[in-house]
Amino acid sequence: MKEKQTLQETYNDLLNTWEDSELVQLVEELDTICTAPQPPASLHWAAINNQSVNWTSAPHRHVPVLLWAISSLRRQPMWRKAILVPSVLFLILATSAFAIFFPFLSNLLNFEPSTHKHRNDFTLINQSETIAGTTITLKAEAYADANQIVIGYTISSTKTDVRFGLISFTTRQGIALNQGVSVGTIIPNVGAFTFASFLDASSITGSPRMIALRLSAVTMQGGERTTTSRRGTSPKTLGTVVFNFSVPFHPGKVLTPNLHVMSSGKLATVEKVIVSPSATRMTIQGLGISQSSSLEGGLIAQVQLPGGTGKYDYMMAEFLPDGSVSFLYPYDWSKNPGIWTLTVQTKGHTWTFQFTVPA
Amino acid sequence: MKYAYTLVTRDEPDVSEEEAKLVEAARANPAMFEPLYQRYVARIYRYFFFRVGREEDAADLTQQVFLKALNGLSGYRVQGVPFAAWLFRIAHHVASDTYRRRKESVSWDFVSDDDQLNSEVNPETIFLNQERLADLRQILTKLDPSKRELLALRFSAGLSLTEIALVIGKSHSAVKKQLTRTLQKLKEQMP
Repeated sequence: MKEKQTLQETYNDLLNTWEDSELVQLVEELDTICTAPQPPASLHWAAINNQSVNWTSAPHRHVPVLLWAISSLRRQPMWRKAILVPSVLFLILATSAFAIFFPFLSNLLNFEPSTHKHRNDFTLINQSETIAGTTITLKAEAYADANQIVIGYTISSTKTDVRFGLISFTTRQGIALNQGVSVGTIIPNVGAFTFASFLDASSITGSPRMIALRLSAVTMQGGERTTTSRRGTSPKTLGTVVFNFSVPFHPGKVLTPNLHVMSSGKLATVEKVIVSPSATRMTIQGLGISQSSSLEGGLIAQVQLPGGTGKYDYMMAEFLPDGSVSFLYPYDWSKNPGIWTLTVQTKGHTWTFQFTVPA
Repeated sequence: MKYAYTLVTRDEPDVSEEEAKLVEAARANPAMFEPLYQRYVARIYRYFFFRVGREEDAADLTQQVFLKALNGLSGYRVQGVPFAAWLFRIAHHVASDTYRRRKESVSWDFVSDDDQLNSEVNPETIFLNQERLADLRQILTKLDPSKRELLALRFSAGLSLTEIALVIGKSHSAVKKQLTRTLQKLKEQMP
């Protein structure tokens, strides 16, 4: 317990008098209870730093079946589910040699089911940069179309105590790319960072032949928090390593159906549909639902393809500033021309849209 | 929500100045957020531990706050609300959302008394202290969430009354009155 003088200095603004011994004792005991808990060893800057890569600008997402299955093993708050994938994959990799990192990217890239269908379209990247005397290597596979830029990458160093954080993707001109989902793992004591990032490419206009991209990563050395020490040591920042590379752009089909459907007095409009190998994105205006209310009341947007009986639900819903909602389906439907049916349900409303996707 | 900013500097004005520099550095380069993280991680963690009572959940929520802070740092203005109040406002919202979703009561199963005991004190006193702390914890679990929130912000987070007022959007005097009443009530409930 704190000394009386320290206690008085700490809580001087709270008590008008220090004459009430019972009240002073209560304050002392509250102080004891409240300041006793120490952050667990799992809480440290490197973890935050690395996780920030996953969740930068992350919109409301629906977690795929794989993640639900993993999360059911152990109760977790919603926001951690995607982070559970790195934890589980880490168990596989921790006993493996460095040589398997690159093939392992295939598994990460298949996080979205569309990827395996067009893997031949991915561009291989192998670059090295030196920062503060340390060689950093980037090995990656990248693909870009009108919906997503997909990058599977391993950043590694020859030094085992080098770590990476705050990884960002921008265009060569420095415009930040909105991160959709990132999955992967960080390998301690090896100095490697293996991730697959699925970046939002819907802001790319026109049909450029190539997309020039920049990957930046803050590079740190040393500094570990151990289970025996609550304080640990801070890593030394070596600087930011930058890799520039270009990937071919696949434009896909961009439709603007402007299809209106009324449900219980509420008019909703399918404004835009982008169909490409990496995914399909549909933008609906007029649903009149906010992100928070969608979490409470449910938001369903299912697609039925021509000739198919199955229905596909979206993986991510992004609530845009103009009030529209953009749904992302991580499937390659680029070879499914014909009449598509989209059914959207919110609390008290159901809209069914039908539109034609050309060959 | 609008806040009336009547800023009162804390006891150490140089701390605010130093913190403003740290915030500016972090805004320019997010990797430089680390000193701010180290400065606040224990306070944020304790705040959540007091609110949710479980180590794992408190750690999860702490991480969530810092991720949100990192993402939102560009929107924070050094000339506006103090950084501590800004950070704990994020924590306050995260805690409120969590509480609304779970509607669970708090239990302090994981709190160890070991750290709290002074080995120079005789065993009988240690035992009595432990008994009193156990009683107090029991009373705190039944406390109204808004009152527990104020205690968490003052005792676990170590915020001044002015900072608490900024976090929860009430006046300094209202915060003080409510905290004083809560302490009096707790005192009366203690055996």
